[in-house]
Amino acid sequence: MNLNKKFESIFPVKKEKRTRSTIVVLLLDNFVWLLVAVLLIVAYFTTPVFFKSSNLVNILTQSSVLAMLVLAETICLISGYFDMSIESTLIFTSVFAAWLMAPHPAASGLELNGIVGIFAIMAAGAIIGAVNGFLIAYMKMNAFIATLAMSIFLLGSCVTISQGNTIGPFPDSFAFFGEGKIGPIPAPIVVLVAVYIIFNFVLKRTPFARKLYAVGGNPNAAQASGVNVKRVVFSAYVLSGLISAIGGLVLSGRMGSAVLHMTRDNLMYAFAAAVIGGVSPFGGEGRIVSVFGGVILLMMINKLLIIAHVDPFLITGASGLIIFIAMLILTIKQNLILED
Amino acid sequence: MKLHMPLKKDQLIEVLMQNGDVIIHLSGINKRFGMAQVLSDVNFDLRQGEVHALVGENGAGKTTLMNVLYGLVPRDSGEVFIRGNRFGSVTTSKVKKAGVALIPQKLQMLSNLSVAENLFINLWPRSKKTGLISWKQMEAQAEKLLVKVNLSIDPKRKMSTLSYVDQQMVVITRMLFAEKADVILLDEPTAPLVEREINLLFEFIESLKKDGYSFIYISHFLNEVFRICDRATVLRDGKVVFTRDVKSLTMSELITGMVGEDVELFPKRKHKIEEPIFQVNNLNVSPLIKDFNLTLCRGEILGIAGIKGSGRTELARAICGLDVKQGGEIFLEGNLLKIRDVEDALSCGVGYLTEDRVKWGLVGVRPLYENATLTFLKKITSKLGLIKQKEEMETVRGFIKTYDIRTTGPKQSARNLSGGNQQKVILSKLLGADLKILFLDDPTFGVDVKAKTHVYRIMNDFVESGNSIVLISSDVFEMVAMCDRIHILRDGSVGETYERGRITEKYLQEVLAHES
Repeated sequence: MNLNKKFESIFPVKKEKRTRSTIVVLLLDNFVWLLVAVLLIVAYFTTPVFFKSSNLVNILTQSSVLAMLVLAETICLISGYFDMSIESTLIFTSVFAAWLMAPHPAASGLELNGIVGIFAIMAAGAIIGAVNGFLIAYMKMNAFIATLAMSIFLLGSCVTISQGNTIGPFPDSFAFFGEGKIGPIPAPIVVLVAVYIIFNFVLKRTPFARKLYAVGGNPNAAQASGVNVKRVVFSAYVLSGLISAIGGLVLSGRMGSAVLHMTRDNLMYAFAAAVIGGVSPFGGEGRIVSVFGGVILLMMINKLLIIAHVDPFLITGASGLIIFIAMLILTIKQNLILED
Repeated sequence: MKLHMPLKKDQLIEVLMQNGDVIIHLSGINKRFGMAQVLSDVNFDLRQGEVHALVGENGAGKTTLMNVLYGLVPRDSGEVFIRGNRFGSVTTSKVKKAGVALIPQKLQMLSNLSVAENLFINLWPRSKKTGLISWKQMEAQAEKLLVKVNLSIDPKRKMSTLSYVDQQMVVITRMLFAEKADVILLDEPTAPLVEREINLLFEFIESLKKDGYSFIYISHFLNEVFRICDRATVLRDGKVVFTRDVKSLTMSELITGMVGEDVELFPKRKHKIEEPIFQVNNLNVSPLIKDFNLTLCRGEILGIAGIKGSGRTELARAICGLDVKQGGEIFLEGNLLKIRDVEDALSCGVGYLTEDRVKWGLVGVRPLYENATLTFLKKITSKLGLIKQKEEMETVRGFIKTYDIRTTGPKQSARNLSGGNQQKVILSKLLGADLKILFLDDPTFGVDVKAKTHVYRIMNDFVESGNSIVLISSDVFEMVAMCDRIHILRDGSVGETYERGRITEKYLQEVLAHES
């Protein structure tokens, strides 16, 4: 304090004037929700059917699996790395769980009960993440190569385990995560909301998150500030694997059995949703609320195009185009902020 | 309000008559960015064969003025004359044609091509018969050019294998001869150089000056103004304070001109040096540091003088857990410290302020407050493992007040702060970790004068409360003024030691120049 007074007596403090209304800041921070709102308005005028409550619940239920992958990727991206194996982790954990639990000739014959299965599936996800994390953080393997190799290995293992069969059915306690309801709300939505709320809190309030953002933003500066960079990157991959496994749990529950092709093309959508949700592909930036917006935006685009009876052969291309436009708008927004 | 009417022809001739040897003449330049008047009524001229320093604090308008001259930023009003020709709209290509070249800090060159190829970018000599590039001819011509400017560089060498100063000199040579420029704008040319290289560059500039080439020299290092420049123009808040011959100028006049008030650059401190508390024995850091010993007393500022690349940075980094050391013991208050990483060092009370704040200091994309508390997260974490947000904000607001960090608020991105304020954030994150020993590596590099004084105050306060500092710096003025003892780093260990008052800036400069 006295230091400051001393200094002020020498140099009168010039207050820098630079104000920007809080509304503008809020809008820029939650830009993806603005896009969602625009899309809702478009939907209101073009396809009113979209707003049937069953349809809205449907969208949320269907987005629960993608949402887990997006969250898994988000954690990795924030740490400054990325994970190509999230979707394979999801499939593998599902097939693995089915192998442990299902009364099926191709299964292990253990027929474990559902609760044990849930723990097994999560443990498998975490271990896969730990292997990725060890290779990348401690062995300094390139993230692309390591996670791609892991992805191929996992899919190959699925083929070996299942021998090409669809393994099922899962026990009832397991199916709850896909089909069950808590009150009027389907279980996948509950899982989705719960996981997002938890991670929103974790990323905002814990020292771990601070370190995670710092490592992603500038690993050197993080190290120089006493952050154990390797441990943080390792943990990010473990979390990524764990969250992918939760996705596997929900999908298994919804499908009732496990098969190699239970999900496809979701890896790239996961990247797209995360980036649309404001996660920096260069690390160090990303907020869960906006990431959720990214998921919703992506799912809405797809659903709207289907409801609007767009030619099915056009849908993928069209949704790609819309994603591209969204990214373009975001980039322009980003440039505006940087120039400021 | 002043109107700038275009000069009539006879007036123009008059201007030229008065300034026979003036090559560049800027008069009444105004530039406004949004609300901020960045340049107001700036007059500037460059005479043939002089090195003209352009000095001022960050944001004083030096760069904007150069950008106006080089056609990178349009001016609002004012006149630009180059060799008596009035330039209506100034564009880079026109200015280049008129013989002006800008050498930015990030050199524009093709680093994977040879020196000869770089000298003749786009003007490669061609064989008359085939129309293809004639390598023989090009190398011969390049050789000739290099001899002409007294550079002994093999024209066949790849540009990327040269040292930075050689690259600089090649780029300047290219501008002068291939592009036919005779006015060179140098933007902070010595920032990445070591003492020996600075001497090389200055000799090079000096010899070109004799051949009639002119330079505008922008630099943060005020002592360089006295070493190489003929005249100096000081800018403050977008206005010219004065243009004067360097011969009749003193350092304190220069600083006063830049800051606007009489400033005591180095604030006074109570020198109360007590018992030794920190000791380093037989430290080895490959390949530079061998059997280094150091004893630091409570309340002392100890200087370690050495040029860049002498191992001074590696030494500090190894002690503070950032790099691996190959042996050596570190004692604090009689206890042997086990420092394997920065976390260990910080918890023992030993911290390191980096020389490269962009690379090692700040997480630019994160807000100020997250940067400021990164070193002591444990201290502000509750028993439940959550960060106490209120306490954190109060701590950070305290930092902003105590260390006078100029910011729009704790949530401003660290990368948007000015250099001096970034440095204060890094200092506050270290001081917040309750340190006893602080290693400062070039703490005022690229920091403007006001912030410099403030950094020195923070240092004084730190040692006056019973802590100690090891100061590593290229700035000899800073070393001589701040340190109680100065160790000269020689061949990886302590060469000589000078007590406070036993060494002058000039002598220290010479010692360092000799080292390199």
